Parts: sequence; structure tokens; C-alpha cells
Amino acid sequence: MNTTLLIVALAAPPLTSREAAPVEPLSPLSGPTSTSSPSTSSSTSSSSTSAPATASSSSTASSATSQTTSSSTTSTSSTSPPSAGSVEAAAPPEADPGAPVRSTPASPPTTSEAPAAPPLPPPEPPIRPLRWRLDLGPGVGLALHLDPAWRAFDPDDRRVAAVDIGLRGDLRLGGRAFLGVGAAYRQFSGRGDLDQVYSTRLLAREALVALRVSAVMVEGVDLFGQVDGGPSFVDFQLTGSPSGGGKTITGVVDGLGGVALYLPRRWLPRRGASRVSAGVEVIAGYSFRPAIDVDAALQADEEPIEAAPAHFGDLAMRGFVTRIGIFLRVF
Amino acid sequence: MPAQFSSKHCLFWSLAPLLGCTPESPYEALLEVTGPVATADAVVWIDRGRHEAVFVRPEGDALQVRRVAVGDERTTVAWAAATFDRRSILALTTPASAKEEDVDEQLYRLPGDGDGEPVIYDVRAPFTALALSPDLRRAVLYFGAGAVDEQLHNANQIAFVDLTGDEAVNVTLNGFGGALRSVEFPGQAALGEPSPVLVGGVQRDIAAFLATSEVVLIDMDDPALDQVAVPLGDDVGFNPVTTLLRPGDPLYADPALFVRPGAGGEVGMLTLLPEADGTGFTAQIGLIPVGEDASDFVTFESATVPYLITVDASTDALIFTDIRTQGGFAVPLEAQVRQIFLREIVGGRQAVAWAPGGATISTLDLVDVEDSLARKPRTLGVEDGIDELVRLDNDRLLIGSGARLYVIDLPSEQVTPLSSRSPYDPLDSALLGDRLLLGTAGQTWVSTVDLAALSPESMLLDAAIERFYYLPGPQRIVVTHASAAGHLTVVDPAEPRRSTSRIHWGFLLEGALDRE
Repeated sequence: MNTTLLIVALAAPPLTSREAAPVEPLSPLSGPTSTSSPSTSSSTSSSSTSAPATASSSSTASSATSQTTSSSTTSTSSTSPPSAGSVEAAAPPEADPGAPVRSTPASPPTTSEAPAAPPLPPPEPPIRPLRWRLDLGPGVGLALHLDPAWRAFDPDDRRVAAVDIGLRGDLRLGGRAFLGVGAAYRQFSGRGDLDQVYSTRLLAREALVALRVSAVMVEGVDLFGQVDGGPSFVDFQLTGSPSGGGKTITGVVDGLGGVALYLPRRWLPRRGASRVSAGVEVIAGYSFRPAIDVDAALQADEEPIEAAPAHFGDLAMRGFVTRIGIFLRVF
Repeated sequence: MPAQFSSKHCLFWSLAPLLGCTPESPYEALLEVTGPVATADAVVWIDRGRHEAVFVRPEGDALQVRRVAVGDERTTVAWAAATFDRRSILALTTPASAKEEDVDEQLYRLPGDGDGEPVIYDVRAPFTALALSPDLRRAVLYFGAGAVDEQLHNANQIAFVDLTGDEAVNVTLNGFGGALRSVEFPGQAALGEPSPVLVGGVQRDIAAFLATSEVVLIDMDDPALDQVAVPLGDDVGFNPVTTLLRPGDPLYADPALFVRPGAGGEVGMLTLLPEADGTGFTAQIGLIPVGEDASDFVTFESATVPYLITVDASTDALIFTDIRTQGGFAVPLEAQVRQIFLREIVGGRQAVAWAPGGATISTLDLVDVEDSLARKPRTLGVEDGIDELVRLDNDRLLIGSGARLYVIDLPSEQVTPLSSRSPYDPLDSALLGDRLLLGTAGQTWVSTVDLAALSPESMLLDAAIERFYYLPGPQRIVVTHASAAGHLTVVDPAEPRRSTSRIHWGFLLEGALDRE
């Protein structure tokens, strides 16, 4: 991708019938050349190859054309002033994996005798190198809680859905690699019953910080590994006779890997000038939380007799997780 | 999404969280808990679903919960009961299903605090009733009046269980076909004291099996011995309700078993005699006329006469019968009477008689009862009537009467009414020294009465009482409240205050989330 690409931009205005009259008959070689295929006007083509094309523009400007051709032939320098038939070196200032090939349209010929050419569209700005990214977006996940105790909070399933929203910033380390940090809020809940005696409810809310290492395979496809961690605030209720509940704080650490698919810049409006993209990411991994003691305090009226908490056992909400999220990316 | 899968279909579930494999939830089954039963140390529930006895014992501010296996998944606990001394729990396991053909019925004897290995007896029948000997040595299992979950069973099958060992003996009563209704140990009057009777010079520990129109006597020390079956229907004409055994003494040498009918003016007297061949014993039946309606009886020995004292409910009199001559006399009481007990007094004994629903307690000193001039019944009025009467000790009675309690001190003949906003059941009480502890189902109060000063104190609970217990082991009052998961309040009987009490709940589901 870092290979310098040279594109010959055939910037000659379309021929008119008036201009075409003095043109000498083209040699057999000039015919296909005048179709200005970029491949035939590569930097490696000889001056004699490009000459018929330039000559065809105007016979009266043959000296000037000859000079221009000479310049192009001898140096293929990017410092040459843009002119009709000039070749531009399109090397970006810094390697940008996945960046689209830049092609700058050439200026129309500036011969004084030539009639004023119609204005060309403004040149596309150069594609900025990608140095940082900022992602914001929600996601939904599915965790498989391996501890059978979870079934007290979801009798039908060991899987629990979680929703989250997060913000993450990436910085380019070099090459294809990005290092990012972020913060997210996640919550999940469960409802069930315990031996048909208590109706149970659990709500976990988690504030997470994340560290992500991404590799841009091609622009639009990232592979990444991620570690999340933070406190997990767990509320649980047991409704029955009598009722009780409790709150506890534990921690959570996720080890995740996944792929992010997003719109590459070349697909975006304004192409390289766009600063916003969007995508979807799919994550899988393992989520670990230390076991919590489900010690419930008795719900009582005012000034109750002191009640000892009921210890219903331990609950370890840990297991495999999958997640799919969408994100809006600013870069 | 697949429906429920069994765990065997989910071999790789841990690697395939999205496959939907869902092993059965360990929390779907209903918590099947019966009880409680109180021992001296703990309150015990039977978790029938998990085949465990749950011993709940207060220890300071904490609650110790101990689970002891009773049977297994192929059995179910049919019933459980505490022994007389509340030191053990007896629980009978039966097959959980009629399809379990290789499972025998077993009786578990568990320590009262749950700490220790159970003793297991093979009793071989799904007995529905239990009788405990007051001497604490035996239990008798039999088929009571309740329904039996058996296609066919021997209604006269019983089992003697040695509560001091590990043996159970199955016996079939050799009666006359009457349905067994109750089992009594007529010779055992004192708790924890073996009371064999001498029959022909041999000590016999006799159990009486009361069936319709017959009584069967068995020497529990030798169940293989010939049983003594006494028909009462055609010959005597009554159905036995209760028995009373009088050991032989110098006044009347042969032991005598008195059998009282449900109604009527005669009491059966079975004189126990040795068999002629010396291998066992037999009974010689006689009938004693005791007025018109014998509602209760006791034996009493004066200095010279062995008496049977019978309450004649129809004439409200005490009938004194010399069991040797069947002669006697009546002492009319000026109040309604149906029940009687004797208490010790200085110089002798005193008869105390009353009637449920009556309003008077009658007393009669028996010191010189042969002397007609000395028969001076006395009465104590209970203004609101007698609903329940509980003997607190030799000298004190507790009477429930509507919304009032009466504490009666018999030596001083003092009647102290205690008014309450809601009625107390005197049966839900315990005596701790001079401190009477009260807690009645449905109420939200625990009360104590200092019987020396007769000053009551009450403590409001946070929930209504379901059961009230005093546990002498940890010396705590335990009040249970309605809850399938367990809910109780532990109260210090010495200082029943809210600040010193403590509530425990959910203990029947303690550790439920740790189930495998």
C-alpha cells in the first residue's frame, strides 16, 4: 500500500470540432494512446509514447509540448508544475493502511491560444492519515453463567442478556496496530424463583474500563483483543413470606476478542474528507466475577426486632460471553 | 431455540453457549417441609424433598442449622416426632412410590441436636402411629386410625422399638379382630423411670393395646411371650378408652389393671396372675360398679385400703371403691367434675377435680378420707370458666379462660387472674422456675409471668406466632412464624425484650444456591 502510485491524469479538455480540424492524421500508434488509458501513461512509458498524445492537443504548441514532454521524460518529478500531460507522484506523506489511492486531476492545458476550458470539479482533499479513532455505541450481549446457582434467578436459561453502552478511544501505535482505552456501562438482570418459595430478582450494573488492542487487517476490518474490568453493583430481592433482599459489590474482568467491521473511508461521502464512520463489532470471550454471598436482609417495618441476614449461598456470575454492538466512529 | 435439554445432551454446553442447552434447574422443585418438632435443643423441620431433617438451634445471636440425611431419593419421611424427653427425634421413612419394591420401612432415631449418627431400625411396615413409653425405653409403632398408603396391610401388626439400643421387634397382636385404637403403658407413672410390675414374682413391663371391645396385654420385656387378650365387648359390654395399672402391694398383692370405658358406670378390673406353667401371665377380669358415668379415675392407697377413685360425671361426685371388696363410698362435690389428679400435700395426698367448661376447681384432702367427717371438699372459683387446665407443677395450675389466664396456687388457694387483649392457650406455655412463659398461636405477643410476684411482662413480636417452644438446651424461647422458608424469633426467657430478641429467616433455604 505504500507503493508510490503514479497516475496520469488526462486533463485535456474534450475535443471540439473546431479544434479537431487542424489535427494531423494520427499515426497508428496514436489512436489507442489518445484514449488515455492510465495504464498506458504510466511513469515508465517513454516520452515518445506520450508524445503523440501531447501533440494531438495542438500542433502550434509543438515546442512547448516538446519541452513538457522532455521534462516528464527526464525526471518524472513530482515537483513539476501541474500541466497538461504532467504526471503526479501520489505517494502519501505517511503510510496509511487501507487508504484509497489518491488521484489528483490534472489542470487543463494553459496554452494561450487555447480557448478557456470549462472549470473542473474541485480536487478532492488528500486523505488524512488515520492517527486516532473514537467509538461510541451500544451493544447487546449474551452470557452463559456456568454456576447452577444462576438458575435461581432464571429458571429457564443459564444465558443472560446484557446491554451496554460504551465510549472508547484508539491511538495508532504504528503500522496496523491501535491501542485503545474506553469506558462502558453494562447491566443485566434475571427473574426466577427459589424452590417455589421465593420470587427472585437480580439486577447487576457494571461500570467498566476497557483496554483494547486492534489490528487493522484492511480498512473496514479490525481484529482486536480486549480486557474489561470494573466494579459490579448487584441488587437482589427475594419476595415471599417474609421478603428480603440485599446489595453487594463485586468485580468483573472480561477477556474478549472479536472483529469490528466498519465503513472504510473510501465508501463514505466526501471520501477521505469524512471524519465519521460506523460499524458493527462481534465479541466473544469469558467474563469472570468473584462469587458473591447472597445474604439477604429482612424487609421489615420501622423499628423492627434485629434480624439476622439469611444466607442463601454463593452466586458466581461467570462464564462465556458473546456480544454484538454497533458503534459510531469519529476519527 | 431448543426447548429444555437434559444435561446429558449438553456435553459440550460450556463451549457452545449459544446452543441453548439447558440442564434442569435445581430450584424448580417445591420446597416440601413439614413440622416443626421441638427437641430440648433444637426446632426440627423435615425437608421431604431432600430427605433431610433440618435442626435449627439458637446459639447466642446466631442460628446453627444442621441438616441430617433421613432416607434417600427412593424414600419419603412419613412422619416425625420427638421422644418424651425431647432428646431424640423419631422419623419413619417409607417407599416414595409403590413402584419402589426393594425399599423397606425404617425408623430413624436422630439426636435432638442433630449432632451424631442416627440409629436406624428396620420396622418393615408403614406404621402410622407412635406410642412412647414414659420410661423412655421403648416406642411402639402401630397402624392408627389414619389412612395407610398400602394396598394391603396387617392392621394388628406392631413393632417394639428399643430406644436404648438398635433393635426393633415386629409382632402381630393375637386379638379377636378388633381395630387397634391406642397403645398405653399403664404401669409407667413417672417419666424416665422404669416401672415393671411383679406378676408372680416376675417383672413384667406391660403394654396395653386397646382395640374395639378388647384389650391385649404384652410383656414388652419378652414380646415372644404369650399375649393376653381380654374380650370386653360381649362379656362386659364396653369399649375400653384408657387403662390404669396398680402394682401389687401389701394391701392388694396382685397387680391390677383397670380399664375404663367411654361411658358407663362400671370399670373393668383385670387382676394379673402368673400362668400355671410359669411361662407367662394371664388376667382375671372383674367389673367394679363406680356410679353412673365414670369419666376419669386414679388409684389411691390409704393406710389400710387400696382405693380406686372414680369421677362420676353424672352426679359430680368422687366414688371411692375398695378394690378388694368393691365396696366404697361417694364424696359429692359441689361443682361440675369430669377429671381428676392427685397431688402431694403435707401429710398425704389431695384430689383435685374439675370439668372442662366448669367454673370451679374442687379439692379434697385424702389424709383421713375413711373418716366421713374429714371429707371436706373445697372449691376454687374460676369466674370465666375453664377452657384448658395445665399442671405447672405440684402446687400450681394454669387455666385458660377466654381472654383471661388464671394462675392458681393450690396450697394458698390463691386465684390470680391475668387479663389479656387476646386469649392465651395455656397449652402453649412453659415453666422456667417461677417464670411462666406464654406464647399463643395467632398472637403477636410473648409474655412471661413471675409466679412469685405474679407480675406479667409482654413483648410485641414483629409477626404472628405459629408455634411456641421453650428449648431448655440453649435456654431460649423460639417462636416460629408462618413461612415456607423458615422464620422465627429467638427470645431470651430471662429478659424477653425486643432489644434482646433476634429474628432469623430463610434458614430452611440456607445454602440453597450452593446445591450441585
